[in-house]
Amino acid sequence: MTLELHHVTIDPLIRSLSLTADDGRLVTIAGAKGSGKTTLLRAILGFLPIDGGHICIDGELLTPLSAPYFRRFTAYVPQRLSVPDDCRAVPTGYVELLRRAVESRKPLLLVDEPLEPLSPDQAAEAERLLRQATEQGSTVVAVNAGFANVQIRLGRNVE
Amino acid sequence: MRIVCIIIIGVVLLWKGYHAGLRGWHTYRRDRREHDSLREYLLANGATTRQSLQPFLRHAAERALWPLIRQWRLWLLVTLMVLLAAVC
Repeated sequence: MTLELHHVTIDPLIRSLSLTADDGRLVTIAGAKGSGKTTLLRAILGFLPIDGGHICIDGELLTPLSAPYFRRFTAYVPQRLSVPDDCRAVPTGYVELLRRAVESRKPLLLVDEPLEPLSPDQAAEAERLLRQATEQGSTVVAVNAGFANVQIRLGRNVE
Repeated sequence: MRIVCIIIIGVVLLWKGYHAGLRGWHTYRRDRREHDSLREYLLANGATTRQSLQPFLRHAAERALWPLIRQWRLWLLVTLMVLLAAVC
């Protein structure tokens, strides 16, 4: 699945960001806290409107109407997940969520960074899972991943 | 006499139902406020709007109905006894 961002602007955080990510590629979004990393992921999911530019998935324009359709092919790992007391249907651990997302074998994987730092073992497992996702051919956009084919640094240069 | 008993039972059941609904509504609103990341997570992973609300609705229904279900046997007994008394 090809993800393309063309001069995407989300005021006031992101200005004219362009990138293309193909199958089996991992794009890392780096940047300081509050630089718009999560905002960008939410825009790709169609949860946030963008102020300029456009986002295409497999050549199709992402719009509020088409976003639910594209989300069927997307696996998303949030920073944190909070569930009601007795809801056990969804795991809440970051690595578990990532494993679940990778095992879903969806073609587009959006991975936010965990709110709390991972232990060395968990970080190694997270990196292994991200590698597995790229080997499976998924397009991966991850925040502050340990490795990357392309790195986007928000607030500064692109690539 | 029979009608009076039925009205009393009806009022009690309505009162219980009102409180159960209120409890469910408060649970739903609190869950949506405190755990909205779950709804967003489900939506982001391809769930429909309806599917993304299911855990909240289920939890609210459980919170609303569970006390009623626990008391149900007692209320059923009371209802039957009152109805029997009214018939006799």
